[in-house]
Amino acid sequence: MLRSKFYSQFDAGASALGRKVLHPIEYTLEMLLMIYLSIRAAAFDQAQGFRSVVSVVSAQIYFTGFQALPLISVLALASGSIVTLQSSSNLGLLGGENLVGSLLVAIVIRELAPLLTALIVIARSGTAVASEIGNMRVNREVEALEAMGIHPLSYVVFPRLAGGIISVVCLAIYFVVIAVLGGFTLNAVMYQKSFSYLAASLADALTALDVGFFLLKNMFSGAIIFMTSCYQGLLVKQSPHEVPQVTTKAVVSSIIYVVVFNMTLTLLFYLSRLIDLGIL
Amino acid sequence: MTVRRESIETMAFKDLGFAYENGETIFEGITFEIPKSRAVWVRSPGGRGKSTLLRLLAGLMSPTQGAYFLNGQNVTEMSFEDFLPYRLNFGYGFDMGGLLNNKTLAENLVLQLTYHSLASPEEIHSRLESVVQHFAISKFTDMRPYSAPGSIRKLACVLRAFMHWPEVVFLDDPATGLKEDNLNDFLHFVDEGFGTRGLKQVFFTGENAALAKRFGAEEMMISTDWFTTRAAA
Repeated sequence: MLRSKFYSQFDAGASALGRKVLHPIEYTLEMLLMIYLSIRAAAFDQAQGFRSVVSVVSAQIYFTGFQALPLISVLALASGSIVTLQSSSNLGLLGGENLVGSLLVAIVIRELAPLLTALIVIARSGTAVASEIGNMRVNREVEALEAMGIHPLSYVVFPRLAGGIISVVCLAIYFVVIAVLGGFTLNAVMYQKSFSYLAASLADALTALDVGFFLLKNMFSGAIIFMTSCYQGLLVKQSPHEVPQVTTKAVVSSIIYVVVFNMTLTLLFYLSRLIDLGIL
Repeated sequence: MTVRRESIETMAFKDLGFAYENGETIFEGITFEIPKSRAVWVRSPGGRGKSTLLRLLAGLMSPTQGAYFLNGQNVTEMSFEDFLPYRLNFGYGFDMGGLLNNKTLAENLVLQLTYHSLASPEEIHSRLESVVQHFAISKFTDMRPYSAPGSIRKLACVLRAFMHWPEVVFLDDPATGLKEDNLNDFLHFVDEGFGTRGLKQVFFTGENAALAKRFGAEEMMISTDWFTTRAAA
């Protein structure tokens, strides 16, 4: 009797554990399937003209990219200034002023710009997209599109995804430019370092691999944010009270996915460095 | 590029079953050929399944069991693209909602026509003007749905189902929310559709017997495990 009770409890525990492990995998696969279907639908949609796609993509770029510029500017200025000032003042004590460029590349370009840009886009646009699509579901707009023979994945998801990726990449580039300019200006004012000296230090530190990783991080972060937000929005069945729930889930999932993805790429980057140096 | 439209000749279910995700069974084991009369009033003694049936017929939902045949062809497992030629000969009016909030009422009315290039720009403009004049709604056409009165939203949603001149229209509770004069204009508009715009059949739900009488509609009674029809009263 006791033995069978133990087995049934073990069974239930194992099933629950299995579900916990399988759920994120299933969730990720469903999102990837949605992306595949939206790209396929957009490719096969004979009616959806270039103008229609461009109009939604440009609206997405305006809301996600252009309207986020003030917030990105403030954060970029702060991050660039802090990193440059701290590195100048501390490295100066050790005689390593010429490493300012390297630190700027390592901290701002490789890490801060992709991560902070992604977090801002999640907070501003990921929430907006999830709640917008959720409300479209409640208001039966998605169903109405389908009734009119307009594929919701090509009309709603694809342009938001494309616009989102473009916006995140552009915002991250803008972040880097403002952060570097801000850092350089502060350095020039406080430590009388010339722009050309700082620019040369930055150029020395920046490699093609940095640029590649930077673009990869931002493109995938954009894809992750808008994939998650669209997917969560489409999960709404019919009730308005589901909209804030899916919006919260979109934010939480996006942050987890983006952070894990960024950390994985960073890890791979430093592993490749260690391999290059012959340490591993 | 103009998309092909498939004429609708017959609609039938074979061993139809439908259950929602929560396990609630709406239909079970129904084999039935949908009547061909020009107006069909879908009624349910139990009050359940009318909207679901319209959605199944319009291809907005798939049966969870059995098959749906259009012109003798099983369309249950068809892809969105393959079903499109049939869908373009369907019109669907929702009981509530259904208008795109980021478009004006005029843009909503002609969205399907412009998206699929189902008519020339001049023809689209002429159809829109004709509807706007017929229902005297010109002062609302540039409004977004959320800023238009409820009766106008409902009217726009119902009218949109007819703008591409479909053969078959499904109207979920069309009379509720429409003003009396708009309803009369609408009935006249549908009558015209049968005569001049290639409209073959209208399905509708709701408890407005006057609407059924005006159309001379055949009644289609539905329940969980049977469908039946009877001539207009």
